[in-house]
Amino acid sequence: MKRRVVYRLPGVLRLGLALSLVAAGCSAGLPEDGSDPATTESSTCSAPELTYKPLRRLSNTELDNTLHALLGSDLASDLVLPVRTTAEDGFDADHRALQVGEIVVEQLHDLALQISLRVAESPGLVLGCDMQHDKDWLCIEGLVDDFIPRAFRRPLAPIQRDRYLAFGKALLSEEGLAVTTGLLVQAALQSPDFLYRLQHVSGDDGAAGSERFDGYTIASRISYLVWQAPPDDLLMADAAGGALVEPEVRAAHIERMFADPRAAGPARDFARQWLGLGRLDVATKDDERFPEFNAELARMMREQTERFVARTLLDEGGSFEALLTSTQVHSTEELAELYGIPHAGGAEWESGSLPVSERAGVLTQAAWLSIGAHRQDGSPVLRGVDVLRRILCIEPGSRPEGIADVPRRPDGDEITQTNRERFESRVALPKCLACHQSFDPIGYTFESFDAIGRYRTHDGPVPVNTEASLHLSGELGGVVGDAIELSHRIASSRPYALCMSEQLNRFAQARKQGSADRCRVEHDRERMAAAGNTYLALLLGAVQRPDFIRRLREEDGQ
Amino acid sequence: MKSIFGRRHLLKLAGLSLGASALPLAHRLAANPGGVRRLLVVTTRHGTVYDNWKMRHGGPADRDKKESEDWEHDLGPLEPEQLSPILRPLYSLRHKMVVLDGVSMTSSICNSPGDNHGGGEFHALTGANRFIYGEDPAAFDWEGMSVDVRIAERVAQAGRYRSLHLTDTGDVTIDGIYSRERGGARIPYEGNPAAIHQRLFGKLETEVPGSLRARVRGRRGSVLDFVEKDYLRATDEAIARDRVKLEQHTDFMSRLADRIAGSHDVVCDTPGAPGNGSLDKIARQTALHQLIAAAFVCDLTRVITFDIGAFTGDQLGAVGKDLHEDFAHKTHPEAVAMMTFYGEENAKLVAQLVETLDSIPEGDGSLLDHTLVVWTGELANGQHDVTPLPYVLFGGASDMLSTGRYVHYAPSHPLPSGVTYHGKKNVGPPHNKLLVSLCHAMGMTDVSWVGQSLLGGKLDVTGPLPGFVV
Repeated sequence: MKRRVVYRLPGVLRLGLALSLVAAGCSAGLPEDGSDPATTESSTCSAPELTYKPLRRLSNTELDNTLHALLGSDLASDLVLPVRTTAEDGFDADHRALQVGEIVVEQLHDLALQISLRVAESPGLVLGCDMQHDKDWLCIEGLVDDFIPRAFRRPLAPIQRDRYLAFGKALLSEEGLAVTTGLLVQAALQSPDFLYRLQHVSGDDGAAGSERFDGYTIASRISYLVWQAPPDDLLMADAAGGALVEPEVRAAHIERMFADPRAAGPARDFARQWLGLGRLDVATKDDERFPEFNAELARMMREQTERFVARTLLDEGGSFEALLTSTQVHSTEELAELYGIPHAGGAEWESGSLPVSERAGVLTQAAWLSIGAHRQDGSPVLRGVDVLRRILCIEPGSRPEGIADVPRRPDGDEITQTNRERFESRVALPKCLACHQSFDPIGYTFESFDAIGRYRTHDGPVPVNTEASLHLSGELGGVVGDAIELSHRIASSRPYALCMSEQLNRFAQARKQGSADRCRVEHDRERMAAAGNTYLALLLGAVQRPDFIRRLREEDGQ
Repeated sequence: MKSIFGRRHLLKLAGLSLGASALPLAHRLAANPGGVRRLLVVTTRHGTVYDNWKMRHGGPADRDKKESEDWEHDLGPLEPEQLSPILRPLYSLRHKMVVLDGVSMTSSICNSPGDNHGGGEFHALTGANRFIYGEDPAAFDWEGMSVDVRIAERVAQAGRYRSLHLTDTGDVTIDGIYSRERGGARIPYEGNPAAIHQRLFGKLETEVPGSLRARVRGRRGSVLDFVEKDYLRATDEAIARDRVKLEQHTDFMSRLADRIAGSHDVVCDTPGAPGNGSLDKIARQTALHQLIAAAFVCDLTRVITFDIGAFTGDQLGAVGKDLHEDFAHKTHPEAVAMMTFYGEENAKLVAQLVETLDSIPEGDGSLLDHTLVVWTGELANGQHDVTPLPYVLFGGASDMLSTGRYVHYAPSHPLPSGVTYHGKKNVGPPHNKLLVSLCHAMGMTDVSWVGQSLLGGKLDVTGPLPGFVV
């Protein structure tokens, strides 16, 4: 029987990366998108390429941050945001995930209504005028000239200003200042200028086939990239003065903003999306074996990994390698007990080191290990596939047809076989092994961790066996002793660096990378390698590229 | 195994009152002007236990019916016990249903989905290439849009909801959903009966007339009209491939403005609100069924997609067990028995929903007679197969479906060169053709293909599936 399993390398990796799985019997399937990989692979990267920069709506995180920056906490707290959606492959800032549906438009309307009711009851919170002494019309003019440009992250075009003033004038004559203020805010918050990151161009500056964004568009591109929030006054000043066309100026803003506490939010958000930490919210464990596992402990696990990723990316030089090797974490008392490390007690998060003989990096933290597990045991399949998919950007192929899951150990059952033995026996058939041998061995190295990430030396009475032979090519292949060795091997590998570049680019660029991105990713990779593979290097590389401030002209293919 | 259907359900099936918690429905559709056609897609998970779903009847006249041939069977004369265990709860509806046996989710076979549940959810109503949409944003076209939405875009009424997407899982979710916008973007499903009721029927003014809050609310429509011009300008200024996003936003906003403007013109008795408290499975289902019927009665939309949602082990009498982890993909006898029982319970829910529609008079028939109901899912069975898919269609007695039949399609449709499934080169007809047929049944006879670009023409996915559309 001809097998039809595809190992799918997402986007640019599928085209440009020499990494492959050594899996007998797994062959390529039908063409996916009509592209011609051979042609693309043979092209060179002599010149920077302009790529599609999708128009997208503000993500929920960006929307929340933007509302707080615009309205302040009194008006922007405890709002009901639209349902959070995610793209097919997991990133919720992806422009496809942010396409509106009918219910989302209603929820955005309800959000604007909710805020406008608050504003109407306390118009002084958004009006810059002296409501006791200024004429009402002056207050409305001030709203249109101050509040609305801040909402839109740019000055209003004259025709747009006239429209808002005319609407305000008509409302004022019938409804008075408070209601008019609320309704103008309601309008602004439903406008595409607020809800979307619209792209404005400054006109053709002579570069062939492209047009340059205006300063305000560039300012928003920088601020939402680093902070997931609107531009601050310094960025807006440079936007107005035209300085943001200079790569050095953009780089200086990145370095300034990178050091600001606001940069932590996106880094944590990246951790959540990159590692799929939301899966912890629905994880359940066997109560008898893991009585300590509950929603609160799961929340702490997630918080710990988010903090770890953010601190590693921002505070410790931003090394991608450290994400898989560092043992420095923050723990609560409950987490410290799980890891067997000291804690002073109480509710405080404390910094400390995990045992270096047991753990290294995110893949040995309780959050990821608990996600890659069922109710009773860790799952070598889930963990192995997750390493391929999220850490190395390799998409495993399909499950062969007609395959049932192997029975999991029922709750409370006596252990007669180790977890690894059960998994090994269930995939012994050649049709299973052909693909499972690509990810199960990766998962076996994590057998020293149970279903909630506790370290263990035995599975029941039997010592755990974490040694495995990896069916990966090049520097990643061969025998590995345990998860620590695996993490270190991956951390220093080129495929991992390239994958992290792709993952961070997807997070930042709001779209999956495609063949057209090959040269840009290659450019990023080289720059990051030179700078030590850091988050900061990726951000600096992104904003200093000429294409950060340009897009293809419509008639040239968009 | 204890059915989730207790005495209350039996009363319901006997046409008696559901009691105080039920929604009083407005049954005031006297006619069906203009030949209204509605679509209701109902989904359940994990496929079926095929041997306990399929029907071979076994009578003398059926002995010549071979698996390798197309054939059909009249459901009308059958006795209850002649229906398969899983389909038996549908017995009373057999004259108004057609069972389709043998259809293949060939697009999924060729697309190598990896995650068969997620792949099946994508393919079930799109038949499209699951992987193209991340890489080519220019693909914001019909491709990737699920057929329920594609039909909704055509049949939606001004000032009404384009479509409703409901589930029995969570409040609002994008997990386990089937409906997709252009380009494959997921559509959130709503799952809280009280919130759905509030959205559909509860948005009338609740503020003190003349108060500041009432005045802000009262101007919402004119604010939307004002903002719409911002969208038109932004659409003009966007690059071509991004315009559809703003156009879609504008369309939904315009519908919302129309609904606000016409919110006092709903020509039906609005149903009572379900309670806010937690409801058990059957009570929640009943509330959702009533809301679906009410949305059709009030003509709030012409298209609804409804996911029946998950069952817990407890709900099926397997206390402390997880349906998915402990039974859904297992092959041991206990698992087969449990999944058969699960299939029966789903069939009872489908029957309750369809009977609710059939109990509402409309024109010379019932609401069901002018509604095409499709029961489908993401898999064929618990072994992650995607063929043969279990389909049951209901309604459309007036002019849409040729009902009262069981139609078997032979696995005689070749897969593209080089592709095999279970070692075979042929499977049943691709479900893309069924999706085309659904369009035809809804009057969209100009639709000739769904998912055509999937395989670059290597698989024929054009034309309807023969045998059930009038």
